[in-house]
Amino acid sequence: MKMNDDIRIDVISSISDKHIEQVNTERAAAKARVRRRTVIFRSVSAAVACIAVLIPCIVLLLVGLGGNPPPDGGTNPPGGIIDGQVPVYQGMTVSNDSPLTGADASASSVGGISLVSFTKATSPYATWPLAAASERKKPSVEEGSKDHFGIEAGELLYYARPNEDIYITVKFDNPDDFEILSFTLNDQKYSSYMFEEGSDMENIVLKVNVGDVEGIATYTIDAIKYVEKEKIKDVRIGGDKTVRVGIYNENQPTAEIKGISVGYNSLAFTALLRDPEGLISATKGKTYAVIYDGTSYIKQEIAIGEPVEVSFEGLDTCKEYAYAVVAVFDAYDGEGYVPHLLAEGSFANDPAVTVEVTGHNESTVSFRLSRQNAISTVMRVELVNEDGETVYTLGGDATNFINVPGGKHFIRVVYSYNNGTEDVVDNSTSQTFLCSIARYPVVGEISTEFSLEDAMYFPTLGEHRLHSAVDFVPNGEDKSVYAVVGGGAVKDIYEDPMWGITVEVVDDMGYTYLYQSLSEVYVEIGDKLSCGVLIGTVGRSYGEDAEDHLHFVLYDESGRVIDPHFPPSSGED
Amino acid sequence: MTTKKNIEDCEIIDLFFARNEQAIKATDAKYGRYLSVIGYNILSDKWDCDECLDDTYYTTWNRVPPERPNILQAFLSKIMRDVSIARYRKKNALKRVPSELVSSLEELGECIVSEADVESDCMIREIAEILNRFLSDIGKRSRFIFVCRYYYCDSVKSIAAMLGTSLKTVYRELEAIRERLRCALENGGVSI
Repeated sequence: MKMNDDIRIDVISSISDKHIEQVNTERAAAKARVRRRTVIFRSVSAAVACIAVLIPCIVLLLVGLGGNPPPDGGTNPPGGIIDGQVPVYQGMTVSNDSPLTGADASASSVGGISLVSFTKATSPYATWPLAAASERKKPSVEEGSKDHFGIEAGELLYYARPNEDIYITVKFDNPDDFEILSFTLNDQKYSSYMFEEGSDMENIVLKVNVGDVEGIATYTIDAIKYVEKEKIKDVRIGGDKTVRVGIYNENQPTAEIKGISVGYNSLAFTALLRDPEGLISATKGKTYAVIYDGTSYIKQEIAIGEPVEVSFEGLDTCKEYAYAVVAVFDAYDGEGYVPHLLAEGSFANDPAVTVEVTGHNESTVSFRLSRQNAISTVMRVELVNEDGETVYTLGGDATNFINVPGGKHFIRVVYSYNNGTEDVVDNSTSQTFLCSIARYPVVGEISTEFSLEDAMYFPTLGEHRLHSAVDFVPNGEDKSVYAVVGGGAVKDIYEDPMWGITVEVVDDMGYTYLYQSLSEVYVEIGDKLSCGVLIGTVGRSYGEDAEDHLHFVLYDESGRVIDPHFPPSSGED
Repeated sequence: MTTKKNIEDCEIIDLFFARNEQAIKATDAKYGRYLSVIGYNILSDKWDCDECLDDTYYTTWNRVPPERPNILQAFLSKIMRDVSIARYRKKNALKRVPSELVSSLEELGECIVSEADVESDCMIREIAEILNRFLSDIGKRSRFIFVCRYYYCDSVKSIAAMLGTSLKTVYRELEAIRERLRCALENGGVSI
């Protein structure tokens, strides 16, 4: 068996004559050129050397004739030319974009440390649900979580996704710009022709694919060589030889929330958190069940892997809450050590005492109080009009209001209860109701009353009919028609074959108001009407042979025509 | 019409064929220095180099005739190299001889590595075939650099001087050529 060198010698010796002859000719010509250049160079050098010798002699001669010689410039220090400075390896940095193209990797600063961020797919984590239909400030989980957990930089500085290309910049202190010949990275040799184009001898850029890996990828550099004159030497090591890159794992932790139970001041549920890849524990993360009302952020630490019963007590009533399972860890997504929302929900809890209208007529309303909390105390019950003014106040054992004025009202119950920590005063309200209408739609009088019992004779029709409406005739010249209550909107405007031009209004209780036999209309479909808004002018119906009048009809929320119960005398303008 | 130089090569070959000893003198006058460089690249010793030169002329005298070299200079270069290698091997058995040959062999170690668990001659032929094909495929400049460095054992400095370029450039090109050769050998089924 031959030694390796012998085999190599024999292999090279077997290069064909064709190649040898061709190269030999070129080589001979090249050597001849070099010899000619050398001759010329030596001739020129000799001439220059002669001149270099003569000039100081002439200078000295001149100095000797008078004056001090100029100071010696001293291009060479004593002892000869200083050898070049050995390049020193400073360390490595990582970026997701090539630093040589001018598009530097975008870095996000978290906690004062620059991180390399990258274009990532939509996070698997949902954003915090805002408290729905609440007049209160909607909570921002990001701000709330930062306040409570803070933002910490992860122990890693660099991140990437599986199979992503990253750019490793190898940094040198190389004042003499020696050629960095090669080095190994994770035992793979990289030579100068493999460096990214645009690299210089102080910042060498390599393009590396992280591969299909998980967790943390490490890159270790070694055997760094440089060329000084004709010799290959070792670069001195002055920085960390290893750099670590966090690789994002698609199989992120998840959580479920089940068995939700909402009380008037409590919330309970079962949380199950799964982390198959152990990502949370790998970065020393923590997991919590939290509840948030936009102001208070309450958390309980929970375990991973098994169902955990969670309970929050002492909540405020009549409030919107959001709850969630939150994991605080480094997901290797470039964001650092931050909270991640794994599962969430929201709810609004019931008041401690509720009030419900059980019935009403034109002047009386009855109601029922229900206690969610047996130890709550009803302080008072109020009858409130649509302007928010309290009309009447009764004690906690009341069941109805009498002499209810015209117009819309609701009932408010004010109560106190103990939330487990302190006594709290709160209130809840009933649905809005209408006992009677307070004002006339015209400045005038009722010409025909509402009647579902006594039929009336209609000359035009030639027959008796029930009058399920109220007719108004204006006094004087003012024929204006006004909205009798607020909270409604114009649903339709049409021409009824019998009652003429009609404006149909529906309000927030679901009641329908028909203003019929109009002459002119001043509103449009969709217009919101408050009490007293001008709707149109009185005209004439087609079915009645009578003077101009307004035909007014009222339906309740079920579509049943009802008596509006206008007061006996004219209303206000 | 041929040049004087070519006529001279023809005349030298004619002298060999005429068995005229002036052929050796004429060869030495024209190519002695050229051949010495080849020998010195391998042996780094003037006395060994002179002895190899003598051996080269002796071998040429014995081979011409019947052979009639196509290009005399290349013919002589090959003989000088082979003789110098043989002398190197003999000396290397006793002690390490620092020379350009050594550093060039070290470089070649990146792409031509034999673990000698197969019959060497067969493997050498296999590698040689791939190498010659490789040299045909790479460009003229790359072939020039490769042959000068690994056949003639020219220093990187002298190659740079011949090409009129920098040391860095030549090193970089040598690295690239060796990597390509390594891939060619791998693709050719030669384990490395």
